[in-house]
Amino acid sequence: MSATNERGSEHAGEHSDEGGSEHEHADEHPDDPDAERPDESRATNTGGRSSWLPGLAAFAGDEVENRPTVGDHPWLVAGGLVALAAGVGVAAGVDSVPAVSSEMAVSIVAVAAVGGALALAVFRVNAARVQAEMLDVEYRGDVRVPGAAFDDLLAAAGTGLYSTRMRTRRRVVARLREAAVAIHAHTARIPTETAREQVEAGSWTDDDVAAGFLAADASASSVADAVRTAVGRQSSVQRGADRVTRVLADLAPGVDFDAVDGAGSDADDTADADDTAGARDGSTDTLADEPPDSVDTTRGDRHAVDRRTRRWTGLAGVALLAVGIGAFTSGGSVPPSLVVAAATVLGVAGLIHLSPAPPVTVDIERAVDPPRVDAGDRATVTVTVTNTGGAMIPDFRVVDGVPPGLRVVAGSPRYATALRGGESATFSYAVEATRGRHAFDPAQVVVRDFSGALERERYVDAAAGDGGEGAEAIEVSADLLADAEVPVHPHTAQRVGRVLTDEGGNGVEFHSVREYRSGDPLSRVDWNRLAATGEFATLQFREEHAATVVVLVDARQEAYVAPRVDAPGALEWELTAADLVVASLLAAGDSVGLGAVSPEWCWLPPRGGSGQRARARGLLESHPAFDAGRPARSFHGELEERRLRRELPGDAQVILLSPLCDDGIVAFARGLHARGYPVTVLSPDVTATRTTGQRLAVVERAMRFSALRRAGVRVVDWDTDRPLETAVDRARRRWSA
Amino acid sequence: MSVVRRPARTSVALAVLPGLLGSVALATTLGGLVLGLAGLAVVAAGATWASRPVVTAGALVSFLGVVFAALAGVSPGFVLVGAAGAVVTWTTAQHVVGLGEQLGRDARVVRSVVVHLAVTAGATLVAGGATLAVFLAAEGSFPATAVVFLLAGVALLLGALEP
Repeated sequence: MSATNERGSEHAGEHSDEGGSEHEHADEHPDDPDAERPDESRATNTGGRSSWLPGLAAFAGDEVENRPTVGDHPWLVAGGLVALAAGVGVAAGVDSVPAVSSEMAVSIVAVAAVGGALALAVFRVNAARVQAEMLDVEYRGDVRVPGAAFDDLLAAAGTGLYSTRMRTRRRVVARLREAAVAIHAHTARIPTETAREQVEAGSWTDDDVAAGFLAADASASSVADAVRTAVGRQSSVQRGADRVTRVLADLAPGVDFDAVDGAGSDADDTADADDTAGARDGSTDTLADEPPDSVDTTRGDRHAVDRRTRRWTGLAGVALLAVGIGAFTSGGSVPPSLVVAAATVLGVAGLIHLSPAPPVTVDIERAVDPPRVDAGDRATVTVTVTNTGGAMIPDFRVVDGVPPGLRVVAGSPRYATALRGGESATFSYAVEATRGRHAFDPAQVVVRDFSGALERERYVDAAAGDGGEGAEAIEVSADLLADAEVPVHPHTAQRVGRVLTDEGGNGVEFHSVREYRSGDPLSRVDWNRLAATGEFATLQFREEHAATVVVLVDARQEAYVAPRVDAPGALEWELTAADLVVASLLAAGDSVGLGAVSPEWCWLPPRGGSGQRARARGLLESHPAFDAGRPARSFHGELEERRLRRELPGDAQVILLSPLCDDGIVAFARGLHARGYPVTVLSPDVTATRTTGQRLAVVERAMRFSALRRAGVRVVDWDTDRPLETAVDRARRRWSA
Repeated sequence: MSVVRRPARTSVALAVLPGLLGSVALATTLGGLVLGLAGLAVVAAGATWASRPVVTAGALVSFLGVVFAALAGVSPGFVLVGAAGAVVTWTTAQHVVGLGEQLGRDARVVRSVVVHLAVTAGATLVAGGATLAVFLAAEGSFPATAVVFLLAGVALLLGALEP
């Protein structure tokens, strides 16, 4: 497809003719999964106000356009016309105003000019500079950093009306109090009720600030907070929450922010060195922006919009200023050089009126090399943009519609150039492939006229490039080496396998000796004993049985988290681990099933053999439950758990893969474990420690580990910087100790 | 790989280049040169931080340097180059900041910047050159007051009717 539908309605200089037909919905996402965030405005009003031109609303989604009229600034227009008439009059030698001397006239002009300059300067300050907001396509869409919601809450606690702030503050305190009660009860080994009383009384910690913040009689100074927030300082809520989180981190088992920070920065360094070697100069890295804590690359409101950027507002005032200064300082006769300077400035100001509207006759071709890649490999996307019209596009900007499930690791999917009629330009970037089929979104295109005053935003679908493939989507197959051995509970089926049981029978390892019963095989008769004592006895060996294991992957909305929005998310790690676990269990002779903890039902009954591995991998790669986009529906633990229990064989044990970033999954795991399915939780660590909310998420996750361990559930905390085997080995030492 | 929403150094260097040429043209007066270069430094810093107000403030200082030089008696031809340099640097820096905000530091944008620079430089030089030609051609026979009146009128109308 191309933007051919634009061409018919294209008339240079007559944008107003385009009317409502231009309001095309290039790509609608009615089922936008992220309902929590309201739609943002499409335009950035960098000036903070809307429009100073009456009748021209600079609001989002507007289409151009109201041409300026004389009525907008009648005094400026009148002054301009009078000055022009006077100029023509003087030039023609008309002495119609003989009483006014030349010096006096110039002085009047000087005053008027400086006044006009000031008026235009005021417009400049007040005018909203408007431009299209480009999508954050580089990042994985639909993932959040754990703790982002709490950070939002903290930010909200410092702004808004008094009642809103107080309500937000109460929610912050309530959330922290819950965490404090749980941790205090755990570390002091006291009942929850006692812990709650102590937290409300403020006697749970030696830290006065933290204790006071959570105490029941805590008071809040709201006015001071509002002032602090207004000048960019932390509010008392933020400081208190941060203090409490640090105290909780000291109490919580296994949480050490210093260690975590060190490990995190190491990981970042290696990732950056890999991604951007040579692409940036080292010194500018100190300026690197932190990526946002959540992005939405599948925004629904993709409208074709024309807008005025107002970037020239007030420039004519500079020319007036030059003339005014010249008139004042030179006592009436403006030096010719200043007049030339003023004319130079006016030349650019006049450019707006001479610039024809830019055409949006653009074709985009996209080629992906290779179109099918293995997970973790890179695919290079080459985009060719062509101006199919005859007129020049002086300023062309494009952001390619990178699939939400992919992240850009090299190059940039953004490009700006100028395109003459019929001219093409090419740019390319690399994406890191994650499993599944990833469809491209339409590319976001912004064109501007010569002066940059008129900006037109469009969304253009790409056609296939020379390769003939890849315009629509990238196919990725997961290809992972499975060589780790994952331990399972000693809970087995009656088949020969690798789990040593405590039952005597056939096997290799000696178990016990019992009296001979008729029918025992001759090979197991203890001939030595018979020779020595004359009694028949039978040797018993430890029986080796196979286990039935079901691998469950947490793919609920809550599991779409990542330490950064440009890092692999929890689900990626879970799927990698699931593939590894399934393969290693199958290799050991266990029978393995696969399921998703997701609103989307996904179930592979437990079986053994190599065919099962292919079936499991097929599901992991392409089942909609493991889609890279966050599911639209929420997961109802009770119902789904019951359905899952119906499918689970009675002797099955469960390996649950989950980031453990919410309490729902803990209840789910404990429920399964309590009903006789031994559960092992394998949890990739995708938490971050940059903000208070993120640190609180770390503390809460540590408490979930404790809660699971208390319930008898085995837990493996997987630091994703290290191989899965390391985490499993460490956990196994803990279990056997 | 995160998007850094600030202009690349190449873009900033391109934006500052015409201002540098303009300042050199004013080198016969020390005040004009100093004001011009100081304003340019501010423009470069503002563009690097992606701050439009700082860019505008810096360009205004540069332009005051041009005015100073004009009052100090620098010939109109050099003032034309100085003024064009200040204005082109201002608009190109704004352009570069916009590109930085929309496309980030890693995108290839050089051609867009160069085209914008060339178009605006052409517009300024043509307008200033035409005025200069009028002055030179009509010296003595044409009242300077008329040109001042005409200029002020055009400026007021352009400011009022800007779309």
